[in-house]
Order: sequence, then structure tokens, then C-alpha cells
Amino acid sequence: MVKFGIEFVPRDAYWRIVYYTIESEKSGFDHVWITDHYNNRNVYVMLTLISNYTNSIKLGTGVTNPYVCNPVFTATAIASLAEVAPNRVVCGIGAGDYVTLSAIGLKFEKPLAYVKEAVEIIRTLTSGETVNLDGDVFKIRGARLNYKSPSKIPVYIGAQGPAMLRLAGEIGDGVLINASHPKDLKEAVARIREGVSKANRRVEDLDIAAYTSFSIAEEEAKAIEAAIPVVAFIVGGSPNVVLEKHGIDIEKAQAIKDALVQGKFGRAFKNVTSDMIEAFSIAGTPKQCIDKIEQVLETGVTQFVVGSPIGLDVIKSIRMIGEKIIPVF
Amino acid sequence: MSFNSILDGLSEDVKSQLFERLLEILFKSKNVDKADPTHITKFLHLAKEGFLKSSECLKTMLYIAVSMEKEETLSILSEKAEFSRLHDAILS
Repeated sequence: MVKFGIEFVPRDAYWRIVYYTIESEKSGFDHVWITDHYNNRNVYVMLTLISNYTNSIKLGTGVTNPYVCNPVFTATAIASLAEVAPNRVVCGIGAGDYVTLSAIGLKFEKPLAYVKEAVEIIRTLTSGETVNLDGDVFKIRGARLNYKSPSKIPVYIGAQGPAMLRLAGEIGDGVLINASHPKDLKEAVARIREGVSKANRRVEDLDIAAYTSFSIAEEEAKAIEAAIPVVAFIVGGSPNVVLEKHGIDIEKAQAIKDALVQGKFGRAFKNVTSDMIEAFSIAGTPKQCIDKIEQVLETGVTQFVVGSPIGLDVIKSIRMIGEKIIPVF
Repeated sequence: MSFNSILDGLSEDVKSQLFERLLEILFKSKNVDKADPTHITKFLHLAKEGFLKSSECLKTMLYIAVSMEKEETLSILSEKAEFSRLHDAILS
């Protein structure tokens, strides 16, 4: 049975995120994923607070990254959280993005090594064992936590490129695929399966999540209105090869990139076209969203994550998904 | 007359309408920093326990709404005759 997750970005007040999650749990969501960016509220503070006001929803970092946060710290934070909420914690980890990292003086280098070694460190430490690792990027000798997680913490790897997707298939308990279009998801699942085969694992043992940009409303126009800013930023951060794959006009995409760099968001948003919305989001009425989710699930995805913007009115959108989408699946 | 006794006298349907209007204020206001953390903690606790439309929760939401958007809250309470005593209680 497919699982439903929902992503929140803690740029909004802490109590609003907690309330959204209470509504999400009551609406039938299985997972909440809280993003981890240095410029938003801290992911572990948020997840701990959320754990106090919810009963069963799984709590995940969506995603932390090993450049900004040393995996030893991630291990102690996530194990502490698991002590507060046993059997509910998952660790989402990914390489992050070049723009965010460069803003704080970090180099986006050796992403595969960073993620692979971080996963090993986190798993070893949270299970109460000692880490001795002479890795490509991390050198750790005799590190050990003074406690261990009361339950196993599944590690989900955030991935988009082929090599990271294969790695996720090799070592992840789950994968968070950063895509919304069935064509992209189908290709991603194929790469994950390659990793699974290489490691002699079973694909059924992985939770493969589509981490989508999602927007729902009773009227299609309102759903699209909410999706436009998010899609503009996705287009702005996409290389031409990705845009061409979806038949996106490169000149129009470049106009968006230029406007975003200049901080002229209104101009950027005006250049978002319907084919960009189609390629990089799932936006529409409940019926349209159901049709698109069905296509997504045909690719082999086992968890559907409702990512930003969710809708113009977040609370109404969460309830709408709970009433009209989740029961269908 | 206290908020509690006024709220207790409202029908479930009116309470539900009041809840939705207050929720809009709480989640659309830009004055999040004006919300009292004690009231916020109480609101979240009542939400978790499923008492969102109880008199206690509505009273807590009223306190938060007034601290964030006093004029808008009063305007909403002027919309319906059933809310008028709450409007007067805030001003008294």
C-alpha cells in the first residue's frame, strides 16, 4: 500500500508547522519531512516539538546534508530524537545544492563520498557502536555515543542524479527522489534498481519516495497560481539538459534564471509557462491530482510526498488531500 | 460575562464557523511574533487532543487572534449576531 508523506519548510513560525503536522496526521499522512536549511528554523527542534504534539506520524529530516552538518552531530541529534519518539524517526540525508552551500563558503565536492560515508557514520553511531573510518572525506577514530537509539533509524537518501540514485539503491533504506514528472521518476527508479542489483538487495526492501512539488485546489487556476513561484525556482536551478528533456523553451527558462538572479521575482514568475508547470509539479484539482499520482505510482514509487507549495491555503489543502486523495489509494 | 460562558452558549455550528474564521487570522497574519507562547502551547495541546472546537480552545484562539490582529478579529466578531457578545466582551 502506498504511503503518503508531506514536506514542510520551517521558514514559517514553529507553531504553524506543528499545527500543519497535527492536521496532516489526522488527514492520514504517514510521514512528515522537515527541510534542513541554515536559514530556516532548526530541523531537530522542529521535529522534537512535532513529536510532542503528534502520536504516530513518522518524523524525517527532509533532508539534512553532510557538508553543513557533520554526520557525528547528525547521529547524536537523530538518536536523541528517536529517544523522544521511538520507532518514528527516519533520517533523510542528501548532498544539498550548490547555491546554498556556496552561500556559506562550502564547496560542493565529492557528493557521493560525503553521503556514503555519512550514512555509515550515522548508522554505526546510532546503533551504539564505535566508528573508525578512514574515508575519502571523513577521518574518524574511536568515536562513540554514550547512548544508543532505542530503535533502528532508517536512512533515506535524497537523490536526483544517476550516480546518487544508484548509491541510494545500494545503501539506502529509502530514497527521496527529487522529481514530480512520471518520466523523471521512471528513469530514477531504473537507476535505483541498478544500485539494488549491484548490492544484491531486494527492491521491495526500499521505500522509494517521489518528493514532488504539489499544489491542490478546487479550481485548477488556483492550484497553478500557488505552484508558479516554486516551479520558477526549480526551472532556475535546472541545467539545460533537464529542461530540454521536457521540451522547455531554453530562452524562456533563461529569462527566469536572469530575473531570479536579479531578485526580480515578479518578472521570473510571469515567465513560467504551462509546460514548465507540467514538467516540474503536480498541480490541479483533486481529480487531476489523482490522475497524476496514479501515473507516478506506476513508476514503482512506494511513497508519495506532497511537497511545497501544497496549495494556496495550506490547511484547506491538507484537509482536501485527506478527504479526496488519500482514501482513493 | 466571561468568554467561557458566552462560548458555551453557542451552537456547535456557530462554534465551527468561529473556529474557521479564527484559524484564518492565526495562519494568515504576519504578526506571528505577537502571539503569546503560553497561549500557543495551549492551542497546540488542545489541537492534539482533538478539542479544537471546544470553548476552551476557541477562547485561547481568541486571545491569540486579538494579540495578532485586533481590528480584524473585532471585524469578524461583528459579522454575525451570535458573535456580538464576544465582540463586546473584548472591548469591555
